[in-house]
Amino acid sequence: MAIEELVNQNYKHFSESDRAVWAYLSKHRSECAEMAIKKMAQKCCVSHSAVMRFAQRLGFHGFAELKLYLKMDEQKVTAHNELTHICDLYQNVMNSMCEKDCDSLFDAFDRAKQCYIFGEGMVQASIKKEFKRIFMSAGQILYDVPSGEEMYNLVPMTGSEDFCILISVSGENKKIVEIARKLRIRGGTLMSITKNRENTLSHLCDFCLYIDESNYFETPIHWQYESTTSYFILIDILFFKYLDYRQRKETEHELG
Amino acid sequence: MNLDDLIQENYDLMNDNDHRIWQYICRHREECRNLSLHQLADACEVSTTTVLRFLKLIQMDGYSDFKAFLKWDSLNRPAFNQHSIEQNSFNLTRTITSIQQADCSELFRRMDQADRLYAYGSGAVQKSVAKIFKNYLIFAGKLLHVIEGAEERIMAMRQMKEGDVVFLFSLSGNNPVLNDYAQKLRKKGIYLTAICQDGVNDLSKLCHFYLPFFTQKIDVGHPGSAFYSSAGMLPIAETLVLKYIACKYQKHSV
Repeated sequence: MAIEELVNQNYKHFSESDRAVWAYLSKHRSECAEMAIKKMAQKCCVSHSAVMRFAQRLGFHGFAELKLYLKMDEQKVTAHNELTHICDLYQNVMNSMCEKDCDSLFDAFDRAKQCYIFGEGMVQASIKKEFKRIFMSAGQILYDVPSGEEMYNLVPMTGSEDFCILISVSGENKKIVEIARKLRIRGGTLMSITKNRENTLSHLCDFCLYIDESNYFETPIHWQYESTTSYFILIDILFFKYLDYRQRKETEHELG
Repeated sequence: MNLDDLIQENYDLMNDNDHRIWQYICRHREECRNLSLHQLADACEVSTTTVLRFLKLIQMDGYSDFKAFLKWDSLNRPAFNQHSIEQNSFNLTRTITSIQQADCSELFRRMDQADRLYAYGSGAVQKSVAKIFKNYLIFAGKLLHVIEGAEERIMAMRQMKEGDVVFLFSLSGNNPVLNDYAQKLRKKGIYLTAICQDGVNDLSKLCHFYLPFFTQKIDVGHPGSAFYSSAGMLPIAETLVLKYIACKYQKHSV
């Protein structure tokens, strides 16, 4: 699990000084991995016990463990070349999805009266479509929400019994964040799919799925290409996990 | 039957020389009408017997028979009718008037009672209109599920319950795949609404509710291709949504 994911999970409980520590740490990762706790506290303008509390908040025993984690995290990021980098990305999303415990997510998904998928943009549109198509084969009829004005008009139709999936690559798309806030107020359960880094959208959602942040690849016409295949891998694995979940539920039901 | 159909029928029997001859004829249809057998063979760089063998293959009784076919083909070339634009506008106006006057109260009642609403279109334009219809319906506070692929069609059918409403968009109303689907849905107790062209067609008979649009074949000057205006589907979708909102609004104020 990347450090960003830990931050996203615990962000709701962050204090002012936790945020200050994270603000510094996220920009100076490699330095922080070598830094003493006192120096770190100084850099973030907080007490050293505040740094300690930050580490504990993320689930570490202490600062030393956090540093170790940072170092390990860094080693994972170093890629040899573009092709292996992209294959590593696929591998990472497969590994993280396989390990992830999605049972509570599926509980909420199955309880939902209606499931909506929000996303703005071309790539998101095809992700939404694929999501809908795949889950239909398990008898789940998802509603892919058109982007644009329609998106806002749909929000009042949602309620606390609904499950909403929000897709934003950066997690910072203004419209999607706005929609997420509105959906939150209406009481729906929210799930986000974003890049694996700290982002506003993940903080708003009950469940977060991530793909690893990819590099941009330079194309022959000097265009910046970003691979999006990871999203489709994520959906596919999520679906197989869902099938597994349903099967387990059914056997439990039969036994009980 | 024209020359193109004959080629299609016997395509598998044709060899390289036959292909070469047909390629030449296709590119020089008009000139071929004035060529003798020898001239055609020379132009194709084959012998006269090869040409005759080719003609026999596509079931011609001889060279003169072939020339008669060519002449017939060129006389029957569809031409673009200058009145088409005027006629098309007239059809569109008729479509708008007819949807404006249609009594949709039964459909709206069914829509309110249904657990889910679905839409399916037979072709590309039909599918696009179904999607636009879905977007419009959001403004009326209704969710419509657009079924897109052939597999999805079957999967969606399994999830449908009695009383669900399905909108079927078709141009001719005679698409065998769509009509077969409609028949299956009908057996399941689904309330079916057809949006297809006016006139005799199977889909309108299969559906409980029928919203027709007016269209006609417009020749575009190429053999085998004609244009059918399908723009009428859109005003139907739009007006239907507005009528639904009006109906809901009226109920509230009463």
